[in-house]
Amino acid sequence: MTPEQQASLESVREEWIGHGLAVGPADRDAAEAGVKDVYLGAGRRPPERVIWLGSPMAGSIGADIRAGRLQAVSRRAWRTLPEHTADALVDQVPEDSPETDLIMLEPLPHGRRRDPRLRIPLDRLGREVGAAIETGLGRAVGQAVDQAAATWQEARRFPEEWALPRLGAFPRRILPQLARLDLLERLGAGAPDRHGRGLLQVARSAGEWWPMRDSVILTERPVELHRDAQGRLHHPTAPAVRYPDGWRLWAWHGVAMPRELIEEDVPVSRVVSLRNSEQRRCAVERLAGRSGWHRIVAEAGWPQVGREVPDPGNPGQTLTLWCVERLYDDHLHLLLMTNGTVERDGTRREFGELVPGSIHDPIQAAAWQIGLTPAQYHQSTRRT
Amino acid sequence: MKLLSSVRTDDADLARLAAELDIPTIDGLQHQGDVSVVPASMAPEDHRSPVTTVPAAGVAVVRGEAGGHTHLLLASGDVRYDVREGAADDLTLGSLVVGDGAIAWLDHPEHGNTGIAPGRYVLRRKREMAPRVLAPETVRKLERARKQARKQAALDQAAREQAERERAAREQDWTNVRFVAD
Repeated sequence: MTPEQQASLESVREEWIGHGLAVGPADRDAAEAGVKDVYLGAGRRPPERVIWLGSPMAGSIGADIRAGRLQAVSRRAWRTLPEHTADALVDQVPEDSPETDLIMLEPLPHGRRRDPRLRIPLDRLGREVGAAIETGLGRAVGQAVDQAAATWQEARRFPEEWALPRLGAFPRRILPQLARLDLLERLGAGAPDRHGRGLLQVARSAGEWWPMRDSVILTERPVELHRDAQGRLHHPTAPAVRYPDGWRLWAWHGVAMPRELIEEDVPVSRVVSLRNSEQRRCAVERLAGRSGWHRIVAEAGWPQVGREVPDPGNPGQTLTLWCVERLYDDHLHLLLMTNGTVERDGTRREFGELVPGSIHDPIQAAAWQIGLTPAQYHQSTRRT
Repeated sequence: MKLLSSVRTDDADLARLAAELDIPTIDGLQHQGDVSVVPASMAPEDHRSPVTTVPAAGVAVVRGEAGGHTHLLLASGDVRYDVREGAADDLTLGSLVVGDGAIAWLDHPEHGNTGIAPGRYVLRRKREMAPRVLAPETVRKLERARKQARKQAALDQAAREQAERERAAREQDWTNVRFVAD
């Protein structure tokens, strides 16, 4: 690739990651014009009804209602939305003349011969755009939407409605393909047709959308989106993403969490016995950052390994070792040590670090961390 | 906390400043947070004689990333430090030599300063185990095993209680027996 091509690849990547993680109101006129192009470009009549909803969850429920499955929408799904949003949703989405399918979207035209040298950069572009959007927002939203779907046990109450097609599944994001399409156009390797242009425009101006035969559901983008330094969905005390209709999600460094684990002070005993191992790990790490590891090991009831020993070179402080197999589902021990330096607020910072489960002595664990023998570690003269 | 890196000026005498700040100078094993100064005698295989003189601005031994702070190596006199590239276990940061009559300092905003006396050293960084990331099937398998264990424990407990009750009942029977007197 030439430097100019490389530069346009970078800018296309940034632009499309930006579209995927965009916040703020959608450009409704542009999106609706794009939708018209998508349908006409595919040789279809544009949809009679254009329905705007406030979040992906509302969009999913709306699509299920359009498919005639109002009764099959689970209570779990309704409960994630504020009451007024749920009421407005039922009024806004007409239930009559149920639809049975989503229309097919094909961003990249098939069969056209393409420069083989572009294959690798195009693949890489798609992968990078997809990964950034998935970790920043898409995975958490998709999981939340799909997990709230009715299960077959619930569906036994309404078998006729359950038998109808489910349109409300979280739509597979086509942003990586759209980024490739955009790059091909910028490199002069093929302009998109009307269908493709429409897709690009909708993706640039709105959030997830559900194109059906006679109607289309478009959704707004988040009003608030928080990510950590590595680009993962994250907020330590409040919702990590919030949509204009009040739908919210909580996440800790990319792991979706229930609301109370982020916003409330949950007792240690509950946190350490969470069933979901990912959430358990995150919740414990969050608590440890707040109130310290000592409180957690005291209340969690994990077995202590070896004795408490004085930390060589760190007068008055001790080293302890704890078995945290129940926390990590892995044979690991946690070494607790305290900083030699007193913080400005008069406390000392404490650290909990993981060492192999084969180590049963705190001194040996501390020595392992820097590749020394316990006898050598005993000669430590100072720890600050 | 007063730091050498914050009070020093271009032509200041670091050794005098360090004495004023009362920073101890140590020739043994010492730790500053996650960086350890290991005398070369403890890790001879990792010590390579360094050639690069530490500049007046200092060398960042560990750069602060993602909210962390930088461990800065400062020197007065003949102090040389080379970064160890491609160490087998990523444990060793580099090799340090503090010449006779010279002093080196490690400087960190949270841990303060610590002085390093003349000698040969290896600088190391603390390592930690990363918990393995489990596949969903493995998690389910573990859950099943745990559930099974709980169930088995409950069954064993029930069996023990039953045996206890039966024994008590037998004893009860025995005390109820009356021998017929002739």
